[in-house]
Amino acid sequence: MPRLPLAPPPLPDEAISSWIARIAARYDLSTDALVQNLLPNETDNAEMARRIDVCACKPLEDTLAVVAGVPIASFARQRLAGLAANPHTAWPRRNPVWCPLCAAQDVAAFKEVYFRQEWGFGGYLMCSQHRCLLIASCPICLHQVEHRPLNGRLRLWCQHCEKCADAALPSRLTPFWPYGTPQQHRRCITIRLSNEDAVSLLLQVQSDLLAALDGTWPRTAWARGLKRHGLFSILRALSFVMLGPLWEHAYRFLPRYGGFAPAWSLPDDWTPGSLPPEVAAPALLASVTFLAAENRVRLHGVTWNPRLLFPGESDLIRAETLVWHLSATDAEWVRRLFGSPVVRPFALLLAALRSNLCGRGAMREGARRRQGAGGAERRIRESEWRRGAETAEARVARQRSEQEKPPAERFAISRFIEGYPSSSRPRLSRAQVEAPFAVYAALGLDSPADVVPPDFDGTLLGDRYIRLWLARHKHLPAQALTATLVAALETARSRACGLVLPELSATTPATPATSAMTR
Amino acid sequence: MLDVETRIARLHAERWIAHTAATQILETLQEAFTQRRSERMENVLLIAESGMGKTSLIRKFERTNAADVDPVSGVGPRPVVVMLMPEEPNEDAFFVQLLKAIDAPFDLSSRRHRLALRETTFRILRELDTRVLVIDELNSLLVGTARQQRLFLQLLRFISNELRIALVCTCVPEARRALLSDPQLRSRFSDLELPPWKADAELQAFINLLAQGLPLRSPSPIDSAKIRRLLIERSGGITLIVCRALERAGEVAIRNGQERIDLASLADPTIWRGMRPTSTRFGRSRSVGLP
Repeated sequence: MPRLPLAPPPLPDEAISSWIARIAARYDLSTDALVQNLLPNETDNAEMARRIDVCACKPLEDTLAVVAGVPIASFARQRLAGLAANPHTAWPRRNPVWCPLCAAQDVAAFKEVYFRQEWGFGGYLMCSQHRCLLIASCPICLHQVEHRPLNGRLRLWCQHCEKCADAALPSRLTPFWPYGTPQQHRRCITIRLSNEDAVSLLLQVQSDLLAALDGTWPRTAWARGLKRHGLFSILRALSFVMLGPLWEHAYRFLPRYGGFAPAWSLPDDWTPGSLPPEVAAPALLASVTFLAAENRVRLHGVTWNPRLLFPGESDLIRAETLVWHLSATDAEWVRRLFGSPVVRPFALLLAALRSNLCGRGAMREGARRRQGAGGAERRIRESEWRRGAETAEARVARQRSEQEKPPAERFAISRFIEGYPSSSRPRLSRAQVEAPFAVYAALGLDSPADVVPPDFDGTLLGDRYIRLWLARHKHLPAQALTATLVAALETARSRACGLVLPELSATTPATPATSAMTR
Repeated sequence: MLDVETRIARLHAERWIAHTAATQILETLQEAFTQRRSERMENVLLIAESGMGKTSLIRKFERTNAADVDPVSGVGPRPVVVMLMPEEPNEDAFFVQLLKAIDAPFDLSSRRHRLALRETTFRILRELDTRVLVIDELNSLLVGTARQQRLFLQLLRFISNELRIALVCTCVPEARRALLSDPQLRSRFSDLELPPWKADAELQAFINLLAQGLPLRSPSPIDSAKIRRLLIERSGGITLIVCRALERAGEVAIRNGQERIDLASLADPTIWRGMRPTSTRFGRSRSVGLP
């Protein structure tokens, strides 16, 4: 095979696939056509060209070395270390992404674009030089973009705008995802990183991930709790969980079992690399922030979905945000995930899940699943239902009450966070809530002390029925409660029926036994 | 000492012998190569009988003007591009042939527009800094219809103007009339002729050089008028036949241990087997003038 007359040498930080595409562009060909030309006798040309960034393809590399006059040893340098492993440990990207500013620079300098090695790694979401998120769609119209050889040079072409997409600057629009879905159908929260802290956090995380690919263990706070080989798989699973609502479509095609949806499962080949950066970034940031919170490190300055955050803390993601966000199936997922031996026990999250499985998000999710509708359908049905069920004033009142509820009362997990604003309700002292403890002690059911928050109100103890009964009667003396409970338990046991606890009035004890005891 | 087979292999190797006519033509070609780029380039039409060594001459011209690859830009300049005329005067076939000549990959399946192939080729030629495009065997033009021929000549003129490159076309004398039927084209082509050999001193110098290049162990006594007459009579003055006859004679000489070529060995009819001067062409080429 003779040398190609026009074969530009690879640039120092260029990915191999980009280099092949640039050579092909010299002849107004696509990458596949060029590879087909170079290796007419091979059968899996397209596959080879697609995978050459990730793994070595001997026949293609040999031919390229001859045809372009490049030493074979240079191919290893052009490849990002560590990506060759399976997608569980590394995240190869499927669709091209690029930094709009880098692309504009390249066009000015070389009259064409080229793709950096790091852009092929799914954990690289932000250009470290320009400090802006990478993009995966046309910055003007947000439609998909293709590589096109234009006048012998490789450019990014937007078919919708009918012009090159690489010279445009990053847009002020926030793209939504999946691409092409109208705004009201979108299910994914995208990120706009305006806060300087968030940018530096994301940069830190991605440089840590790149180093980890290379074999260097990150020393930053968020990774402290993880075991060495668990880093990528944990982050992958956690990001998947964070994106829970996104998988509604996939979910709708799954078979149903007895009216209940099966748990979502993480596909083997799914990685954050299959998401566009503006979607992957919040998921990754949320995961990292969560891991950091777990290590008792607070990372400030991350903008996520403001609806899910508290007023005054609009740019912070915390562990409770995650719990709030989780549905029952996601919670199950997280429990399974963090129950695995590779992770340090996530006491915080587990406690939260144990205590309060039904966040508002989970309820909504549950309703959606029961009705079997997703997205727009569900929203329409819900709004119709609401419109029929409640008057305008009631709706306004409901919305206001939702908004005005003090943050501390929104869900229970917030109480675990140090320095969290306390509830507006007066705190109960230990002495005031002595009764339930005494009851439990008498029954031999020791209360789990580690999950009792400082402003314990009795909701976290044992069986839900007993717990509620105790909470209702906590003003009564302990002996009375214990006696009633013991009696009820014995009755239940002797008659082999369900436990029935009597209602005790505040002033007059209902049963003579208890009144005798108080006396 | 080399053994017989190696020497015979070396005997049949390609060689370039700079005879006077060839040198003159090469000078003219070089002139066309070095001319300044302009809207109106001076083109060359090289006319010779088949087997006169047109292709070798052009290859020699290409080798002389070869350039090295620039490692920074990755461009391997091709100042002279030698292409073979496709079997039919057809624009698409022509550009495919041209892309093949510069070793460029192409993809016929994904052509979007009819002009895409042409534009790609033009751009590549510009990037390769091509100054001379040599079209070998232009006589394939003759198989097309009159309209096809006219279109193709139009294309040639367009290429020359658009790329500002000189064209060098080689053809057999029959094609000259077709090529020069276009008056605009005729004014831009200067025609060169590589005539068949005559039994004169030039032929003698040529066969002397040729015999010296052969791996024979003793000098060959071929410097005689008889041998010249014999060669012209049997070959019709065609270079290819002369060379092949001498090579065959040389092979015989190596095999039978004679180690030299003389009149007797050249007169042997077995070395002339299968080779016949085309008597119709012989003589007519001189009578064809410009139309």
